[in-house]
Amino acid sequence: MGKQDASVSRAKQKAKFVLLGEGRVGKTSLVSRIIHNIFNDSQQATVQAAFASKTLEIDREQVEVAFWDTAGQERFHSLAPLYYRDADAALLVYDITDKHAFQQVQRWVKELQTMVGAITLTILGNKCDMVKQQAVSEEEARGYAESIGAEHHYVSAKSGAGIDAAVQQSVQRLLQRRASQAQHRPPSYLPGRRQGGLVIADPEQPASKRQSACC
Amino acid sequence: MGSLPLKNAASCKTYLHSLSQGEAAVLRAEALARTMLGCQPTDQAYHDWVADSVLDVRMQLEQCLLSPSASRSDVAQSRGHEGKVPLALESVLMSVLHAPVMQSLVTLHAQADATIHKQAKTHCYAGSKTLDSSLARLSGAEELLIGMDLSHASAALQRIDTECSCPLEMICAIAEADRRLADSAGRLRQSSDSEQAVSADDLLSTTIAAVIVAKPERLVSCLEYLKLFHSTGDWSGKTGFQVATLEAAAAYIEQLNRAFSTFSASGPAPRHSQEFMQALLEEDEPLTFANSSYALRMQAQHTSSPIQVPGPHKDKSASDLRYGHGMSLKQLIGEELMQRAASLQRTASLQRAASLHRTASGKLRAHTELTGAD
Repeated sequence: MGKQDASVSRAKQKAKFVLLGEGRVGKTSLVSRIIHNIFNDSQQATVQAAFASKTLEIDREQVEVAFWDTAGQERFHSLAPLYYRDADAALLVYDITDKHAFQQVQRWVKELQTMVGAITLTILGNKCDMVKQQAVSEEEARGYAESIGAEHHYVSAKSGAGIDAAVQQSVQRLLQRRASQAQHRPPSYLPGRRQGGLVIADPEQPASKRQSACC
Repeated sequence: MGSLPLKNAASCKTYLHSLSQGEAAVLRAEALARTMLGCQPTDQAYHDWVADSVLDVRMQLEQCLLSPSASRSDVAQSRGHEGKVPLALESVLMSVLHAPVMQSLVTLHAQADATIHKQAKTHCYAGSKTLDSSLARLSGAEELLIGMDLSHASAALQRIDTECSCPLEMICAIAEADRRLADSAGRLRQSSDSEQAVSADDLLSTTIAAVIVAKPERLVSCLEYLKLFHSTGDWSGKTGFQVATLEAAAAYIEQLNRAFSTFSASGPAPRHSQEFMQALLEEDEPLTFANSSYALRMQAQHTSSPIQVPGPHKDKSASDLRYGHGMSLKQLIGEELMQRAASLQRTASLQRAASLHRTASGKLRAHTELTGAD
């Protein structure tokens, strides 16, 4: 996605979070909650809730988190890879009153594991304010999350409950993963850069020392 | 000048001129960009080479502008300009390279570009600038968005194709289209009793509709151009999201084309809906099945209102299609087939990916064994 710019050092870390889940489980409402209620209220809210960006401070580290909502309609399912490619973390949302929505989450997990590989997964059981109509047991949901190395949180877009903690913990786990990867990365690693561009001659140097890679 | 937003190649040039050593940097950038025009083979390797070269040149000139020598004592120049100088330099470089690089990309992606243009022309009346019911059905937009004004968004999308001369200008046009769609959809949501914010479904479906209304001739080439040459872009942020939504819209329209092509290529139209169903259920390839079933549903919808839809079957009358069952039955069949098709399509893509993964793992194992034996 464009060439990576290694020249600019960024004090702030960036993270891309993608929201996945069946239609009508409350993904858009969750993004709305995140924009309006969870974080710094002085930040400007966007007109739409399909995309939101917020800066969080986690473990004394500034992290700019971009939340990408995805279309939930079945007809758009095949387009989802365009949204989750290069994602650092996924928030997999289901409606606790809908067993099928939880099964869809399991399907998304399989797809992400196949297509993306290393990604921080967090499962969000939305509408936890409707606990009387709960169709997915806590034991089942937590057991599944544990089996795939994900965290499970109950949230409510309606009341705002649980969202703050879920996002913060997800960012924390992402930062830990990044730190661990950085330790194991070879020192010569330079993301996204290929060799073989134009060799730029310094106009101050003698002509004999100049080179050009232009064919 | 430093506080003015960068909107196009001209404003970038003016901005760079306002900086110490900026004029020399612009001249050098333009000269180096011209050296890249020596040859223009139409292949991906050439585009990659140009993209790498643009990045290298930009980074070198950035250093000159943002880290001036101590003797000049204008270190203050770098303050507040770190974000703008790279973008301005990229725009100046790409404004020199834009036309030949785009021409090369258009040659590579001619078929995909033509497909989207053809599908857009097929599904949209000339002069239609609003989301009508037929376009809403096609794009997956909710009913409450019917009547939405698409004129400004489609005009902005047309500009990407016809007027832009660097990645920055394209990104500005895409951002404007996105903003216009979100505003229009937001107004309609507010005017209804719906409290829900504009969702990703709203944005994607209306973007699909706006692309159909805009009928761009080189959309795929423009998107490839952006992904290759907009190295300063915030790809994990808003720019990335807006471009992904436009890419998704283009991919969706391409899928529509495949669906209708499959339908048209399947020979004489079956006489009864049962024959349609049988033909589809016997289809082995899930993607073809998915596309065919979608085409079937579209045909069913179009047949019910032949005057409204100038689809690929416009040269066929309703009686030619012999699709005379009641609409409710057609809808039921369409829905049933769509659900089954989507499920099969997902399974197939996962199976393909898993197969690739297995092959790669096998090769890796073989390689490890080989090196271990050495």
